[in-house]
Amino acid sequence: MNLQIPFKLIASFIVFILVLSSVYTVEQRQNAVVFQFGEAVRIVDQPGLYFKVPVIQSVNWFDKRIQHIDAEAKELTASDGKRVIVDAFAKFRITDPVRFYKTVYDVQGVSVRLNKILESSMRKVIGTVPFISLLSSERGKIMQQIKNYVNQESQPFGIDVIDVRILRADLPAENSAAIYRRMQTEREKEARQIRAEGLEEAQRIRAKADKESQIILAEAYMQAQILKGEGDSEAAKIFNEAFGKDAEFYRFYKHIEAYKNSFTKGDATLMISPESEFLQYLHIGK
Amino acid sequence: MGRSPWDDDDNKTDNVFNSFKPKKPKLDDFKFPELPKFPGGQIIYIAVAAGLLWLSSGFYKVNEGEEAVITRFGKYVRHAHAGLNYHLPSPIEKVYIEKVNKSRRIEIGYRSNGSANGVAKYITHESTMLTGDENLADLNWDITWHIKDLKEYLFNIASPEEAVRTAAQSAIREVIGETPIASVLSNQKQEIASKIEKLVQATLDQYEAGIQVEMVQLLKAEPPAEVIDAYRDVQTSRADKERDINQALAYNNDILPKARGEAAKLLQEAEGYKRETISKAEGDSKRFSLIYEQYITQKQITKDRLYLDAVTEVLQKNSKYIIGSELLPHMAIGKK
Repeated sequence: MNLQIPFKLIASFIVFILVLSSVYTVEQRQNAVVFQFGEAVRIVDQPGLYFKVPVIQSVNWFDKRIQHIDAEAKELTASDGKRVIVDAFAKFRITDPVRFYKTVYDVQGVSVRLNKILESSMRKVIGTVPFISLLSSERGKIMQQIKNYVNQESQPFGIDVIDVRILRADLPAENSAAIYRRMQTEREKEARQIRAEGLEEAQRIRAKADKESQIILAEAYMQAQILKGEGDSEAAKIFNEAFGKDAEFYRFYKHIEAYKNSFTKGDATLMISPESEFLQYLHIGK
Repeated sequence: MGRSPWDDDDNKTDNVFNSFKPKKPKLDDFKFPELPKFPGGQIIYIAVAAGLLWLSSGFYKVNEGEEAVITRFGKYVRHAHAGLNYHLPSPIEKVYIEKVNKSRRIEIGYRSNGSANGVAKYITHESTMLTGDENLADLNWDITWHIKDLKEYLFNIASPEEAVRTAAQSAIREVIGETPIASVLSNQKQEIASKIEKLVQATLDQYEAGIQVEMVQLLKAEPPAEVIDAYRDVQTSRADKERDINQALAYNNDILPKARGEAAKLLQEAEGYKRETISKAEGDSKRFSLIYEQYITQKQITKDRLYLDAVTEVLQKNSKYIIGSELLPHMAIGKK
């Protein structure tokens, strides 16, 4: 009776340990591979609670979510000889964990291999297209092509490459400087043209204003001269009518007027002969 | 196996040699009757208490705006929504709670480092990109997104935020790469942003990432720092052009009314002259005609009177000398 208590305890403890080590869970985001003495015997691709033979079998878990790999920036040559710096990334998912485990072992292993494959695939595809097609709607097709290559070559690793996308497709730094220079000169050209257009427009407006003002003044002058002429002509007509009655008297009258108008300032000195008509009644010294 | 006090005691009771030590039996006798009670009573209480505690650890709270996903032994079993919820405690079920409605933001080309509207630093290798006409533009973007499907978000993709960032960057470069710089910098920002938004969403949907892109926003669109002066100068030149034209229009507005004023003045003057001339002529002829009426009646007298009046007036106003040939010696003018 007394012996049973420790035995039960020990036995239940051992059973507990065995049960613990024979039970394992596979999470929703995981795949698992059961190994027996290092040999893969079973793939578990559904999540849940599972059993294995304790001690003899061991479990390795693999992430079955979509994973990300960056391809380092590479300088490649496009078909038109232009150098281009491309960096890309790939999204992949482990589909065959056993093969994955055998060939690349873990994510780090696969990232090294994928990087190489990405580079060679990009080289292959980008080498056949001109640089400018990377700056067009071709880009999607190019990425699709690269993805197909990568997918083919990464088959042995038990992964499925879901997507390959180009992040940057830039020209090397030396070319950037050239681009900057070109952009600058283009802008300078534009600025100059705009300024010149401004001056052109301004000059046109000024010239038009000058012209219009000249026309206005000239027309006004013409009108004024016509008015004055009308005045003069009317005046002449009036004079002719009045003075035409007696030309002789008009001459006399006008002379008288002229004398009065000419000598009324008092600045003249008159020398009068005693024999003049005016002094005919004044007899001095006679 | 470790030795517990009970093991010790059990051994002692079974031990034939327990009589070696006189003290021990006493101790055993003292403890023996309590032994069945001790584990039987206390352990059950402790076990029940521990069990209750364990069961109660299954309560959890989901806040408004959050959603929870529960897995049982790793397998997805259900969703839970806001409120008090229960799951089977720890090793059996596990809860993942995420703020599904929370709008998350990704900054591309710059980092604000949490400050509300400042820019902590610019990241030029992210922001500088080639445009469709082989120019370079410097662009900053904000992408906001939230979780659309928590299950997909949790279980389909590793580092979802990274996925959004890279998908966005790739989409941005793809779209900008086929757009000329002029439309990037000026008028088509909205169209470009919505194009990118569609592309990012399509990429994320392809990954079944459970992510909804809310908005792609083009924050800053500038030519690169190296050429920005040239671009600014274009702006300045536009202002210059406006200025030149405005100055010319000002000149126009100045000179034309003046000319019209001048013209009006000329016309008024001419009108005045005309009236004046005619009136004067009429006045003069009227005066002449009136005198002429009198002259007709007494020709010589009128003539003489007019003549003498005039002479009188002239001589009154001026100094005069009367120079006769006989008079000269007496007046000694011009001789000494």
